[in-house]
Amino acid sequence: MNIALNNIDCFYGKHQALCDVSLCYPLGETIVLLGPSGAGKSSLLKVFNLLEKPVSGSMKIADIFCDFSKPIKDDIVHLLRKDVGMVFQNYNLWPHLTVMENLIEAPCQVLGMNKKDAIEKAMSLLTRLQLSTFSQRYPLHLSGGQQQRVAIARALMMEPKILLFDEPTAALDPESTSQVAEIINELADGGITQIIVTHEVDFAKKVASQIIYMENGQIIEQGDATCLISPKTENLKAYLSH
Amino acid sequence: MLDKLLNYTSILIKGLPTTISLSVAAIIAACLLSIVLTILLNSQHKLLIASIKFYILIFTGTPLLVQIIIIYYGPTQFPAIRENWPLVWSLISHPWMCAFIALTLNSAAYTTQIFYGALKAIPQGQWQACAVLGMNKSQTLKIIMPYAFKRAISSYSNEIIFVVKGTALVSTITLMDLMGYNQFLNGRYYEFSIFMITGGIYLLINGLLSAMMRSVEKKALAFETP
Repeated sequence: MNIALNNIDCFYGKHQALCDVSLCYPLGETIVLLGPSGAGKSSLLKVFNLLEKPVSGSMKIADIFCDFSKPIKDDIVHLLRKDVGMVFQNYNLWPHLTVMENLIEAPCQVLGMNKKDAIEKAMSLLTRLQLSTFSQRYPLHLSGGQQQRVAIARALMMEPKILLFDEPTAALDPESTSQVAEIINELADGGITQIIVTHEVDFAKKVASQIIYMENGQIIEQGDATCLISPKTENLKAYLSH
Repeated sequence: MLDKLLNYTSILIKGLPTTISLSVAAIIAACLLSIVLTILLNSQHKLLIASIKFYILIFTGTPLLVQIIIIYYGPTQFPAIRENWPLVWSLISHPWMCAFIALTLNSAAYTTQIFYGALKAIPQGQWQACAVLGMNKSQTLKIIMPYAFKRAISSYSNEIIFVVKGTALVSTITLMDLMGYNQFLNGRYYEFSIFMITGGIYLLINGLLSAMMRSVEKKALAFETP
């Protein structure tokens, strides 16, 4: 089983955000997408869970095949998103619901899990992420790092095979960043495939097993984490030197 | 002088049951109707959306007094209604019911705008959070709508007060509400103080409502304040 993209083209109006992007990785990797702003990292990340729909190319992910030359049906989208979770830069927790409610809503509504089981599972996840004392608090009453961990817990409640992170540490202090890195490494040990967009090279070094470097909607360089120590292209060398 | 004022007040408050019953019934019905209309406005049915927008245009673009009069006197111009729909006729020939329909439709048009506006103001990230968890449209609305409604309470409080004040127009269709008794007393005694007392009673009702809504808002938005 693997994740594969073939010849993906994605547009925002006339602007081409992704240009002929192809990749193939086995499950279980922690893939970090690096690159300057506007490189197409976030657009590529959003293709994996169909928040962005390319105009051409194909994708195979979580046993689901999508041919973008045809319209993707809604049931395929919902099916895929059950297996591909996502954590946002701004957490996007529902502020009017408590931490516990944030965690149990999707499993109860989407997976049909009963509330008691969902609460039990949520408590165990919150304990694992050192958040058990905050279960009845509202998200806006927590620090940024705590909110990000709640967002990770919410995504994990769906037991995704693949977890996407869109700049998960951009709004965090160094201590919270380290905590998120630890969680990502722990999830990697547990076999969850993770795809992470970040600007932070140090953070990438801590978590990545594979690196994809992008510029102008194209993949410039990809390879294992040693890319960050000995880059092959001048572009990645220049990016790492900043 | 005091005896006279007390006498006016005791007569005026006979109109309170009509004012309050109309207000409460119209506010509840309008709230329920506007929730349904807000959900429908979020659908993909273009004809349905256009129809709702047309309804909102009509009821927000014409005076409430005109709406009350049309609903009360309008159907009587069509004898076919009496002959073919006796049940409808029995409802719309009752002034309280006509006032209720007019106030409900008028308030629902404004309330739909408030609720729909609040829903549209929810940050895109909240919708995306639902989408990435595999939620469909109805599951998403189940999460997002309560958030939007809580954010809309402040504007909705004003609408509630507008409905209470709007009931002052129903005396034009023979209903003896607070304003109806005011007109009755004014016709008999022609005294300025009658209007002062009537205004005072409306002010008291709306002051209480306003304080109550502020308290509801504070509780509903407790998640925003640390």
